[in-house]
Amino acid sequence: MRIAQIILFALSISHFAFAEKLDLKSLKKNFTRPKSIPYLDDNKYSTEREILGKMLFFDPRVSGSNSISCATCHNPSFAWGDGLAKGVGHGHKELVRKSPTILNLAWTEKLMWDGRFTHLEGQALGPIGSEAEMNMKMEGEGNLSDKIKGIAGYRVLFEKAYPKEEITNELIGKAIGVYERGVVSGIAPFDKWIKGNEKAISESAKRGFVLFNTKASCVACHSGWNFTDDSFRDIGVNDTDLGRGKFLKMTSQQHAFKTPGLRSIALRSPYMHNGSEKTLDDVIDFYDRGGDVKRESLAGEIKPLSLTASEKMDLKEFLLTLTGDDKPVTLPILPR
Amino acid sequence: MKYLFYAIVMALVSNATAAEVMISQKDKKFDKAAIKIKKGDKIVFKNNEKDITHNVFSLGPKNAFELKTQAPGTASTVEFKEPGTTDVECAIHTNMKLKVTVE
Ligand code: HEC
Ligand code: HEC
Ligand SMILES: [Cu+2]
Repeated sequence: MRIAQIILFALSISHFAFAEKLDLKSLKKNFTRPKSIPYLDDNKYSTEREILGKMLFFDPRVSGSNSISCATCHNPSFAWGDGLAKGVGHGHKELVRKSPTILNLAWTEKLMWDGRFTHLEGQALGPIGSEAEMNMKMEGEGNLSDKIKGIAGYRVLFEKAYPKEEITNELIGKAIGVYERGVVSGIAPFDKWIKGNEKAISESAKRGFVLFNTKASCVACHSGWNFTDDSFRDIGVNDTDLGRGKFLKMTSQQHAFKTPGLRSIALRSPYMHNGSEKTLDDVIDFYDRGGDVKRESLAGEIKPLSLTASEKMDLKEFLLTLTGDDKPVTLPILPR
Repeated sequence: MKYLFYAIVMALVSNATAAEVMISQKDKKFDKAAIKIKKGDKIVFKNNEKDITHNVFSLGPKNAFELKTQAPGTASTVEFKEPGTTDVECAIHTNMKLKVTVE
């Protein structure tokens, strides 16, 4: 009896060790980068479309005041955000939420902190028409499509990108969508490690990766190569913003926000939908204490983690490996 | 006595016609992308995850419903009363989608 127990115990230990070892290998597979970028069937990729979309993205004439472009708030110099706690829109008024990065959104269907838009192509017209953001007239005389049509260079570019199609607001959104889909974060040290280069990241970062997947359970939401499962969760950020709860009445969606991907995260401070966490250390402390507010909607995974100081450091080291040495973006010469 | 008789008859009748189908939630996915059932059939939504909570709902167009958050191991049953199609989703995991066609 006693012996049987001992054997069983020994077996379970060896099994455990074996499983752990296997885990890291299969775990790493879950973070392999995709081979190609998805485009919509009715808006396929072409170089001409991408060039046109890029011009529109950087063109302040897309706004009512001729002074705000998408890149004002989604600035490649700030990993496609604006480095501010909350965006600043038309008339220099502060918006209610932080400008998120537009990195790696080709793989995401539900957009915005609250999921209110679907697909990049459909989303693009939102900020242009929004009074708070770009304040551009979308209907009637002098609307967006009229304004763009009135610029001779754009007429040529549209004809190349979408031959024989009329320039409409929707088509402008589609061109911007093609450009945004190509905004993908470059190869980071983490990717090199995933591919097998053991020297690409530090031992501390490797321990951080394991913590991310185990004790800290970050992976419950930040999973896959872009570190998001496209879920909407309340993680206990303390403000009155209902997030997706404005549209869905379920308890789980009150104060629920989009789980952001974590690529280039070191360049994207301040953090959270309201910019309330200034540094990555602050974010890790936030999770370590189990968020800032206990309420019914709080995600079950959010609870005190009891991380030691060195574990926190490892976790941060790991997060720092998610930034690649992406080439600077060149600015387009805009058509006149 | 009379009621008991009715109850038995009802039970027999519904057993004979309505079916129950199991849809499993595992690895943040439904185990099917689409399913066809008959009017009056029930779907048992079972959370087969190790430690992930789900929140299944549907805005319709037909048979709109809303389940409470489902802890791993739990199941909830929904009866589909109207013919038509229903897009079932998880409020938490937006990539989970199931199209139910009720005939
Ligand atoms: C004035 C600042 C500002 C401008 C200009 C602006 N945005 Fe945004 N953008 C934001 C903010 C703030 C959000 C988040 C809003 C929310 O979730 O409520 C956002 C969200 C987005 C998202 C969703 C990101 C995600 O992770 O879901 C995309 C895509 C996007 N913007 C693209 C654009 C495009 C394309 C343009 C130009 C046509 C543009 N934005 C112009 C501030 C701006
Ligand atoms: C229950 C799901 C969940 C878990 C677990 C989780 N996160 Fe998050 N994370 C989110 C959501 C949702 C947000 C956005 C919340 C908001 O803005 O209100 C977020 C935001 C962040 C941000 C800021 C991103 C930005 O663009 O501002 C970082 C960094 C981050 N998480 C890292 C982590 C780390 C590290 C862990 C593990 C210690 C972790 N997360 C665990 C869901 C989760
Ligand atoms: Cu779910």
